[in-house]
Amino acid sequence: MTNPLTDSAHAHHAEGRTNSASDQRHSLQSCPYPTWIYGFITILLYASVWSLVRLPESVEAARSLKIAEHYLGDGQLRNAAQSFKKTLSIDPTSAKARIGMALSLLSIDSEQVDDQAVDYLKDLALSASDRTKLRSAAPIKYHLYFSTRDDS
Amino acid sequence: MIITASRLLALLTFPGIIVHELAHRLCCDIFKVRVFEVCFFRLGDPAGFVIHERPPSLSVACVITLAPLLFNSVVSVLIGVTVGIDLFTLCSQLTIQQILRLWLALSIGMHALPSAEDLRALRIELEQNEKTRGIANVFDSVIKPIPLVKGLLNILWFDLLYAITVCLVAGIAVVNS
Repeated sequence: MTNPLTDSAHAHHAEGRTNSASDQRHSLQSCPYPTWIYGFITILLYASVWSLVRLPESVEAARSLKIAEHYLGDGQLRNAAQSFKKTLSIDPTSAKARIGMALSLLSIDSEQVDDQAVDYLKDLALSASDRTKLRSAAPIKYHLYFSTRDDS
Repeated sequence: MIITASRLLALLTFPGIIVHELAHRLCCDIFKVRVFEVCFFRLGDPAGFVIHERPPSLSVACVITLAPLLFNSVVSVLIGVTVGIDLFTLCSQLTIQQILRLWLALSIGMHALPSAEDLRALRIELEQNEKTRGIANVFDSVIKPIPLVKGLLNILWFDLLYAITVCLVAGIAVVNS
């Protein structure tokens, strides 16, 4: 809130500070900043700088994810897996990349990579639509992993 | 002291209030408008305020009033853009440090919009300038329904929506650039 003293009576009444504000009105300099505000500004600067330093990595991970999803949509499974891997090398906790990676690997018709695919899904809360997609891509022996409530 | 919902929200988002008042204060300093009193944060109504002398021109008054819109939005984006990409685009698990940054970014973004008091102060400026007295009357029709509009927007969590949108849009823009 900003309150210019255009009409001092109004402003003082609004803030309930008749004496202090009118006394200070005639001083030549603005009131000083409290010391703690410099600490607060330092925290803001630190948070901003940290964010900007981390930004290129996050952007690269997000771009790789987009490319991977594009490949997956086109059915270029090995390229998709490569791009998902790149995202996961930057951010191993990305749920989208882990699910995408698992989906790519399960869709590749090779038993060798199926176990790896399931590993990517460990400790991940899957939505019903993710389960359905994974189930349709996975060999029958993995269907139990991706059963939905409707199946029970 | 009674803790109302608005006071609780102010307490939860206090960094945003500090940055909002800081924006007013910095703008006053830039335009050499003397500041008589500043409260960066308190558990009262209003939660923060800046009392300053009359700005030299209407445009300066406008800039002082609207400074938090730009300042809070920019600071919110700077702090929140990376966490925004991690959370919304990558759906990553956030660390405690990232959660703190997200809270900081959202609370700052939530206080970007000018308050009803800010607009009221601007209205006084408009009224005192002969050329803009007509606009002040039009401005009245904007200010008068503000408590009602603000109430409705509060129900919709408009401030939070704005903060999320700012971080999200910035993230999407950076990724797609």
